Amino acid sequence: MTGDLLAAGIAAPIGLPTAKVLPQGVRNMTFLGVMTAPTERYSASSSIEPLGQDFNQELSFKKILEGELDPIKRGQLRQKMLAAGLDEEDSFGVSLGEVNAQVQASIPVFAMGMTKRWTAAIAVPVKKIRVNIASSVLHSNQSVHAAFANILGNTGAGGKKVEFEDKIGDPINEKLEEYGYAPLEESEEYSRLGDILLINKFKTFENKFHLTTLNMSISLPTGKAADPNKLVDITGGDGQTDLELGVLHDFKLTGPLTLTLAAHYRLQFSDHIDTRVPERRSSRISPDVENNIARDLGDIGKIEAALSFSFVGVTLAAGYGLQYKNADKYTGQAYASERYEWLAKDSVQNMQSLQLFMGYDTVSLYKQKKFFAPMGVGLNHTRILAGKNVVSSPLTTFNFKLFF
Amino acid sequence: MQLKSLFLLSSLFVFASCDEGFKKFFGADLKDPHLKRKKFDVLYPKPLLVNREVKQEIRDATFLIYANPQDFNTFVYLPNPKEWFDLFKFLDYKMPYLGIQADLENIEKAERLVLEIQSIGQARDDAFLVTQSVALDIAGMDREKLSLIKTLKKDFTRYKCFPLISDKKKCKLKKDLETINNVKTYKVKGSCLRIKQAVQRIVDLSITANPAEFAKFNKGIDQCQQIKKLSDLIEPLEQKAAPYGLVRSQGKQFVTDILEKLQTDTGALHLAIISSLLEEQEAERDESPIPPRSQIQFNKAKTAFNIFKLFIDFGTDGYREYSLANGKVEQLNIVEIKPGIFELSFVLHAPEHRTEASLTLNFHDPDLSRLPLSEVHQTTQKNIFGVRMIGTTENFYLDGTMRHGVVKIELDYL
Repeated sequence: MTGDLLAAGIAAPIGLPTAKVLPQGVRNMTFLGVMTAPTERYSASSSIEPLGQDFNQELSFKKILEGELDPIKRGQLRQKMLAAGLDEEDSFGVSLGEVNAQVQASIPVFAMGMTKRWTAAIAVPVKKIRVNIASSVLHSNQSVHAAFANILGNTGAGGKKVEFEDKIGDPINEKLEEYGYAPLEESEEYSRLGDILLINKFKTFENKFHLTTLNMSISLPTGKAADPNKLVDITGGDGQTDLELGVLHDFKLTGPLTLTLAAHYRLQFSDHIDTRVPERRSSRISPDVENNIARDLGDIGKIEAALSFSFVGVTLAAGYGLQYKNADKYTGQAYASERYEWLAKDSVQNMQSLQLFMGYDTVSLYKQKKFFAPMGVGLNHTRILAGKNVVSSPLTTFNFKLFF
Repeated sequence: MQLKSLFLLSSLFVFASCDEGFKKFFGADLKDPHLKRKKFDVLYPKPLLVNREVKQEIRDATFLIYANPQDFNTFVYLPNPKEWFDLFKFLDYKMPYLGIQADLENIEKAERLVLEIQSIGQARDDAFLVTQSVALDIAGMDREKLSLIKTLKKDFTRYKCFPLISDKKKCKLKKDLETINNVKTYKVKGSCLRIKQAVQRIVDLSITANPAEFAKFNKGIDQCQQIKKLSDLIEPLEQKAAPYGLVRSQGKQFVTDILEKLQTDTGALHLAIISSLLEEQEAERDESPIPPRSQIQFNKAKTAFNIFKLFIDFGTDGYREYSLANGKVEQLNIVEIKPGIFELSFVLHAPEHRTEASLTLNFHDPDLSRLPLSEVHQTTQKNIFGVRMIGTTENFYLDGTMRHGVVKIELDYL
C-alpha cells in the first residue's frame, strides 16, 4: 500500500503510438490534460481489488500477534489470550479502509523537427492530486471482546486495557502512530512535478507504404520519490532516471488507414532512496526507515499496435498495448537481506490496455491554405483490460496541439 | 468556419474536463468513501475507592526484567516436565510444555520466556486467590469454636495417660500410687462420643489442668457436635487449598531458577526482590535475617504518596532503600489516563540500571465478586487482592542496553 500508486513502474498509456516525425523546422506545442480517478488495482493474482485492500484486515489474534513485532509484548499478549480462553483464530472483527484518488496531469509538450529525420521533444508533467482516505472498524464478536477485556481488567492491567481498546477501536491509525507514520489525512490535495521527459525520434526508413522510426527517450529524476512517512503517497514520478529505446513502424494501408506497430524497452537506472524496510513478508508497513537504500527498479518492455483512420482532419483510432516490468531490487545494510527482498515483493507488473482515440486537426486544411494555422484537438480514452500489480482504473486524455 | 469549430471543440473539452459529470462519464471523478462502522462499547472500571484505608506495608511485590532476543544466544531452559505440569495444573487454560530449546530462534526464546513467566504469574495469582479465599472463609467462621477444635484435636486425638490399678478403663495424667507404672497412649478417632469418653476416662483432668482450660475442654465436649460440623466444612477446604499453596512456592522457584540462569548468561540483572510481608514470613520461616519493611502511604485522595519507600535487593549488596527521600526514586506521579484508570509512574535508580516504571493502580472493590476460578472458591465473594499496582518497566543499563520488565506491588486494605 505504501508509496507510489501511479508513477513507479508501469503506467497506463495516454496516447497511441505513431512513427511520424515533424518536418524540419516545424514546431509543435501540445497540451495534454490527463484525468483518472484510481480506486481499484489488479493484485498480484491479477484479480481486481480496491486500492485500500491492505487496510481490510481481520482483527484476529493471529493477525494481531503477527503485527506485534516486540517478542515481549507478543508473549504478554499470547498469555492474556490464553487466559481469556481464546485462541489465534478468535477475532474482534475487521478493520476497513478506502482510498479514492483523482489525478489530473497537465503535460505541456514542446516538439521540433530538428532535421528531416530527427524530431526532439520535451514534456513536463505536473500532477494535481486529490486523495480521500477513510479508515474504519467493524467489530463483530462481542463475546471475544468481553472475555479479553475481562482478563485485562481482572489481572489489574488497566493501562493495557486502555491500550488494547484504543488499538482495536482504531486499528489502522493506532498502528501508523506506533510505527511513526504521519496520520492519515481524510482529504488531501496537492500538486507534484513529474519526471521530465526528453524525447528523440529518428526516422530511419520511409517509402509510400512504410515509415520506420527509432525512439530514444530519457526520463529525468525531477519527480519526488514517495515519502516513507506517508502510508499513501501519490507522487509525480519515481524520481529516478530512465532510458527508453524503441522502434515504431507505420504501415500505410489502403486509403486513410494506418497500422502502427511499436516495441519499446525502458531501462530504469539504479538510485538511492529513503524508505521503510518491511519486517514481514505479508505487510509493507514497518517501523524501520532506512536512508539511502540502493534501488534498482525493474526494466519495462512494451509492445503496441494501433489502427488509425484519418480523413479530412478527422482521426479515429484504436490501439492495444502490452507491458511487462521486471522485479525491483533493493539493497541495504541495516537489516537482514530477506527484508529487502520483501520490499520488492509484488514489483513484477504487467498490463494489457486498450485505447480509443478521436480527434480533429486542421493540418490538411492548412496545407490547402484553407485554414490559417495547423492545429488539432483529440480525446483519448484508455481502459485497462488485464494486469498484475497495476492500477486498473480508466484514464482519459484530452490534447490540444498547435504547429508553428 | 473551421476555426470556429475547432475553437468550440477545444473549449468544449477544456470546460467539460472541469465538469464533474464529464469526469464521471470517463470514470475520473473523485469518489467519497462509504465505509461501514461498528464499534464495541467500552466499559472502564468504577472510579477509585478513595474512602478505603490502605495498609502501609507491602503485602507482596515482584520486580523482574525480561531479556532481549540477543541475550538468548546460548540460553537453554528445559524444566522437568512433571514439575511443569504440576505448576500449571490449576490454570484455567492449557499450558503446553514450553521448554526453551537450543534450536529455537532467539526471538521465539524471548517470547516463550515471557509467556512462561506471565503464566506462572497467573498460576500464582489464581493460587493466591484460592488460598486467601479459603483463609478468609475460615477466618469468617466462629473463632471460638475454631479454637476449641484446635484444643480438642491437640489434646484428645492422641494422649498419654496412666491407667488406674482399680479400673483400667480410667486413667490419670500424672503417675501415682493408684496407677500402674506403664503409661498408655490413647488414640481417639472419629465421633464426639469418643472424645467425650476420652475426657471422661481421665479422672485427674480437673486437677491437672488449670480451671480455664478445664472449662474450655468441657465446653468443647458440650459443643462437640456443632464443632464437628464446622470442622467437616473446614477440612475439605483446607485440603483442597493445600496444593494451591504449593503452586505459589513452586512458581516462585521456577521464576527464580530461570532468571538466575539468564543472569549467568547475560551478566545483567534480571531479578530483584522488593521486601514485603510475604518476604518477612519466609525469612522468619527460614530463620534468615528479617528484611527492612517497604512502605507506601497514599494521601487521603489517593492522588499522591505521603510515603514511598521500597527496600530492594538488586543482588549486589542486600536490601537498600529506594525512596523519594534519598533521591533514588524520582518523578513519582499518579495520572488518570481514562476515567477510573490511574497510572503510577516513577524513575528508580538501581545500582546497574535506571528503571522507568509505569503501573496501573487497581483499588479492587471489596463488594465486587470475581468469576469463580475453581470449585474451591466458588462460594467466596470476597476481595482478595486489595490494592494492586501492576505494570511494565523500561530498564536502561550502563552499556546503553534497554530491557523491558514488569513490576507488581500489592497492599491490603485496613
